[in-house]
Amino acid sequence: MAETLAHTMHALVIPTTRVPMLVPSAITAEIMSVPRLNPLPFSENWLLGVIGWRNRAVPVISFENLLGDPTPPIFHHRSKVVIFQPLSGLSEWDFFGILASADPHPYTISSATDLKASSTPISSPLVASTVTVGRTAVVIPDMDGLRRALYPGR
Amino acid sequence: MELNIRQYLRLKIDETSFLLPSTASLAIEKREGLSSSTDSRLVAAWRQTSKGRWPAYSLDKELQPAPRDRWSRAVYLNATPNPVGLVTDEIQLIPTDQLHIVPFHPPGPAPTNVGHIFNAAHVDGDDMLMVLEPNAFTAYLLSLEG
Repeated sequence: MAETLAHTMHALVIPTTRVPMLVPSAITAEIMSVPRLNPLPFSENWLLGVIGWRNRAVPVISFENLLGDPTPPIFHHRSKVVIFQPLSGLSEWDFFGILASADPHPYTISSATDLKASSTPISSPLVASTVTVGRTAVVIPDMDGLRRALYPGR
Repeated sequence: MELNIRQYLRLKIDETSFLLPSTASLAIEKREGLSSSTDSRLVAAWRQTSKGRWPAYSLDKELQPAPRDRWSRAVYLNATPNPVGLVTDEIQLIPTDQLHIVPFHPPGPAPTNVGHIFNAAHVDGDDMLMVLEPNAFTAYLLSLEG
């Protein structure tokens, strides 16, 4: 019998050009069309630019590039930016965005068996686990690993 | 981030603009008041002083060294052993109350040993100007001397 979670968890599957991400909805703040990306000198290839969002300066990253894929992401009319809440331990204004290749879609996790380990896991300090949603492999990001990659030393 | 900055300099460089707290500026010189550089590819001009000459570097919009002929002024920042400068297409003084300055932490590793080049931004809708952090920017300019 499937183990039932104490609380249903609302999540988002965020499509990217390489492998989708699965994140709790609660750590996201907004999904938006791609606004003007302002270039930032001295940035890594995974930093796509900085956007103005709610009178804040918010960096937008490519998760694929952060994972090591050198191919620049393709922008098209379906592309979205998912704004994330500041990571644990950072300042309250440290929102960041991740580029999605299309609209994220909601996914409700009510049982531990809703998530099965993928047969093709992705090994990276940025990935906590690779699971399947339906027939699709998705990665659950390691948020501490993400913080260390985005803000080394903080 | 310094909170009591009353004015910023908008530095137009290669069709892009950056903000610098005006308190960080030691001097602003017109091109006519500087000596052109013939002995360094990166230095666009020198300011001659009784205690030596101060270099002014030429950067592109990515703030990478690049020879550019189209510039009109140089802004100098205090540094040791000598002040160091940057040539710009245009410099405009803007009161802080005409800007919306917010703190900003650039992601990724810092490009200088004293930190990131930017520490804030002016945000107005989609429009944005990055604010240079004087100590880190000075360290970056000094590193160009190699």
